[in-house]
Amino acid sequence: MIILLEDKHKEDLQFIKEQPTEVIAEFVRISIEFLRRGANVKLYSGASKSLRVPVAQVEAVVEGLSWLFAEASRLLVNEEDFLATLTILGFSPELNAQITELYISHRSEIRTIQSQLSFDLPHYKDLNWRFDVQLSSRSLRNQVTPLFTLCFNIEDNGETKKYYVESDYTNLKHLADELDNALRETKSTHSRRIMRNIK
Amino acid sequence: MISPEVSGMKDCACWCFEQEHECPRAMIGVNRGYIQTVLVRVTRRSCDESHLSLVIHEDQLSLPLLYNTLLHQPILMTHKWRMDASVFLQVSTVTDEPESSELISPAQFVYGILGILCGSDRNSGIEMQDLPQSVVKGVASFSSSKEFPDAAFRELIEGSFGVLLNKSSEEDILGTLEGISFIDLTSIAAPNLSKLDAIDVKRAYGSLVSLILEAAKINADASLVKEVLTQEGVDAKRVETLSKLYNDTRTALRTTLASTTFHLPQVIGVDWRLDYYMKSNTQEKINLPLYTVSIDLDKTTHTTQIQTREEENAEESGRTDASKDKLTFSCNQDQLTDLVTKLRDAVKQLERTHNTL
Repeated sequence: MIILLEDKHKEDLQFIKEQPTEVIAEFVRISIEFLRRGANVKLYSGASKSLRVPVAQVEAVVEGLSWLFAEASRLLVNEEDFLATLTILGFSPELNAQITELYISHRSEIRTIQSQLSFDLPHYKDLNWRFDVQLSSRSLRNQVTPLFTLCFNIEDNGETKKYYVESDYTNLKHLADELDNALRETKSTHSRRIMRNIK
Repeated sequence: MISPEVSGMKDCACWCFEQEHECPRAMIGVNRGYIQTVLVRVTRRSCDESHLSLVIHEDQLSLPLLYNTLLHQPILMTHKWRMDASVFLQVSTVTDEPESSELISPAQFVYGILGILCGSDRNSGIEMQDLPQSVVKGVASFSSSKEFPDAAFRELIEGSFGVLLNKSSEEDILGTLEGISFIDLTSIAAPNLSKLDAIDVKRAYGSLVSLILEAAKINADASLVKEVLTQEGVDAKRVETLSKLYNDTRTALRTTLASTTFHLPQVIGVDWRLDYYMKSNTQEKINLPLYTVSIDLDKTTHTTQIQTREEENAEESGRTDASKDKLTFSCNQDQLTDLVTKLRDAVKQLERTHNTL
């Protein structure tokens, strides 16, 4: 899937064409850093002085490149399509290859950052269990009642909560069997068909 | 431990098991080497040989067989001697190898013996000492037929057992608290009881219920209940009826008592859902299976079994029951595999323990 850039974008990125390779690499690095941590104004002013261009121009280039990378990672664009996108801009082939290489190497990292932007349901982290035998209580002595105590560690928005739960053998077995059925569902033909066909 | 003069054994490894002082104690020593000697020391409050029906075969039996014979048949004792109210039994068997892998652990052997010895001893030393005096004396209030007519007594015990087994409510016997009047016994269910003085009825009911519950708690025999009742001078006929009723309902009472406790939320069910996570607004082409699991929990704690009519009405009117809860979480395939492996491990542990016992 080729990303179609707006004209304004293209203008911003034209600036890169004239620059030598190291500068381009530097720009790419800055734009990825921008994705990680946001704008670093000092860097921009330094770059603008060395290149003798206004700060706004530097900023525009950095943001343009960042947007290109972010959008490509979001859509999980593959190499050829990315190359095609760059070709539309009219860059030289070596430049294209270079930028593409950098894109591929940083793609997974950018995707991780993007996944953190999305919300997260409380998800399972860990389970600890313990087997006890209840011997007595205030109401009844001389008991022999087996029971399991489980501790679910559930992570929600960064904080891990612990849920303590009790169970006897039958309920635990039922729980294990049901979740086993759930796991087996992914291997069923229906699920496999869907997962194979949605790409 | 065994002193050398008594046992005459060398290189003796001893295990000592102490039980409550009322119950028999067994000490066991196993000689290493070709002669397996088991020494059992039985201490009782009143050491009577007729109770010791321990007969051990003097054959070339390996220990497991000895264990089996202990459980199922009387066993012949080879030596027996007394020392300070204890009886020592010495059993010798000769095995071919010093240590056979089939041999059971000494612990199992001792428990085997104790099982027999303790069997006849279940009630010794268990006394109903926890009952306050007011309860015990209160039993006397329904002891005689003059003060407490038979019909009323019958209603009392039927009502009490009904309440204990959750079949009727306390108001059927005692009436309700209405306005200024202290107790209003206008219930139709217990006409004979309402003719008696309200305080007497309350005392009788209270002490009867306490007595029955205490007996059920320690799993006392009907004979123990009879003892306590006759001690306070209840009529023999009434004692008979009460103890018979207690015996019949003993298991049911223990079951209700077992659920009268608090506990952590208990797992009662599970629901799960499998989704295919395709894309979000921040990323596309994610394409991962995602599970959502919801575990049903039961949070009710039955700390009181006896509900009044108001509580029952409240439940029926459908007010939100805060005692049910759900634990919901999501996980991907790896995490669910991890969870299932841990659960299966726990289940297998219990099965393994059950098989070895």
